[in-house]
Amino acid sequence: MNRNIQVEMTREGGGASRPPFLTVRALHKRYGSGAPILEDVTLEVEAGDFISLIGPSGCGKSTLLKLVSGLTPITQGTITVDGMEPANAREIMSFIFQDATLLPWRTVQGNVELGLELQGTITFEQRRKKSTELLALVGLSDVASRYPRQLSGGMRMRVSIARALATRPRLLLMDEPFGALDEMTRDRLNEELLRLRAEQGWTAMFVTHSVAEAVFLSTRIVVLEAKPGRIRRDMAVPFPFPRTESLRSDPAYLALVGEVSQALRELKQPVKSGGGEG
Amino acid sequence: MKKFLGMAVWPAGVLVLVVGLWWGATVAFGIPSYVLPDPWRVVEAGWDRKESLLNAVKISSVGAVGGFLLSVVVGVLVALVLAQSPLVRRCLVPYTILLQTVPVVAVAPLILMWFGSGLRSVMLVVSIICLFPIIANTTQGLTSVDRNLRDLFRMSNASRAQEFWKLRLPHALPAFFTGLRISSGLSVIGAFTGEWFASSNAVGEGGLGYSIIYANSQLQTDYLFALVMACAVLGTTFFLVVVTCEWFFLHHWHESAMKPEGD
Repeated sequence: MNRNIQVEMTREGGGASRPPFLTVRALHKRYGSGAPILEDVTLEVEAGDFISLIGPSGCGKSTLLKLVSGLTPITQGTITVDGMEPANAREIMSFIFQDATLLPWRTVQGNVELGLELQGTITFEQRRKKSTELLALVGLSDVASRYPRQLSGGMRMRVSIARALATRPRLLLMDEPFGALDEMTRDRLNEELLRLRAEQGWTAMFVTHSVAEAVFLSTRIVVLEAKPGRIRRDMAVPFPFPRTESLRSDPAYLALVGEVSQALRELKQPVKSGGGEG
Repeated sequence: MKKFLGMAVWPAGVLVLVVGLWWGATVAFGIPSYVLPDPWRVVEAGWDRKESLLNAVKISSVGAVGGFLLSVVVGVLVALVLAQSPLVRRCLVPYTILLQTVPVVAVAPLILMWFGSGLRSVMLVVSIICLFPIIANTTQGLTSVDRNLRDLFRMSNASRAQEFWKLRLPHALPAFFTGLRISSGLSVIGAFTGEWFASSNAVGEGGLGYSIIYANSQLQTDYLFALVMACAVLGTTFFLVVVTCEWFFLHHWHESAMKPEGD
């Protein structure tokens, strides 16, 4: 509580000493006595940032996301989300998985309400109202009473996004959410994600394999190398918001896509696995 | 309705063919009716003794359904215990496999000795036969929840009770029904076996199993055939009842209970 007041005060004073929204300090992660997955990762994310993690397979980008979510325990180092330990900050975080991870026995609306229902803080009517609003927001009002199996992959992912946003998170963790979708659907969902962000103002940490997607969405791109996972580059993406489809053909955008791709190629190749993966 | 008729035409054709061949064989080879009665004699024998036949069906149904329900209750309880932890499973699963591997025919005389003859013993034999598929499938359903779904619940700070009621239980339903489907067919076999050993032999209290032994001993082969068919009809009926329940609970969302669409 005290800490929150302090943060508020410094924010109003406009001081540069305001602690970042998300901090990762000297983070190490290994499973059991295996090789380290992440080594000495330090990262600060300001509120409102959209930060993409990109790198070859085995660079630990998904692990980093899981550590921030508190689903996986830290080996060494610290992570704070809004001044809290990850496990205590779950109420202000939502996680979006690679597959939509919907409950097949619930309707679309029932799935969107899951998080609110588990929190158990609001009544059924309030839940209905909120989920109805969210379904309208992601363009799924027509299919509210359908079951997930009746939807396309893109629609399922929209449901997943609506469910994640229903609890009003301040930090959205996304683990390759659009990796399994075709390119057109992916592009459209990218644009929608930015629209939702503009409306709701959450901070995002986004894992992807697609450079184009990372450049289109992010305010910052963090490039990781593999075995062990370490941060190699931290690149700002200067394009102003709102970003629209036309950005994709902008020469400056294409140049930055090229630059990030080049940064990925310059990573040291994993020694033993013969490279070529990812 | 059209689709249903389309589905029924082919099996019905097979039935006509088999009965035709059966009838043809009895005529062509002059097989005596105590070895292989022709189809009409079987129908006749069943019709002539329809009261005792229906009575036997009724008694066997009670034994099969009672034992089946008992195995559902016990099976689900055991599955709930087994689903608690891998350690519990490691300790107890070998013993549930015993249920499957020890022939019930070997256990039936013991049951007869302990519980005497009658419906109670028949139900016990039925439930022993039905138990394993229910335990195995329900446990598998309860424990095979997708990791991401469990993480999703953890991210929402879900309690253990919430995870059970809102995630594990609905997730286990399809597997549970698979167990029920297998056991529904087995329940009639169980009732039959149980009656073979432990049916009450008071007049009018023997089920299908008992009646078949009796008909066999009297060389009433035509009535024996009628009884065997009654067994088949009874087993199929149980199976269809379970499949209908399954459809009722799962058809909204699960593939196994969905009607084939298109083809």
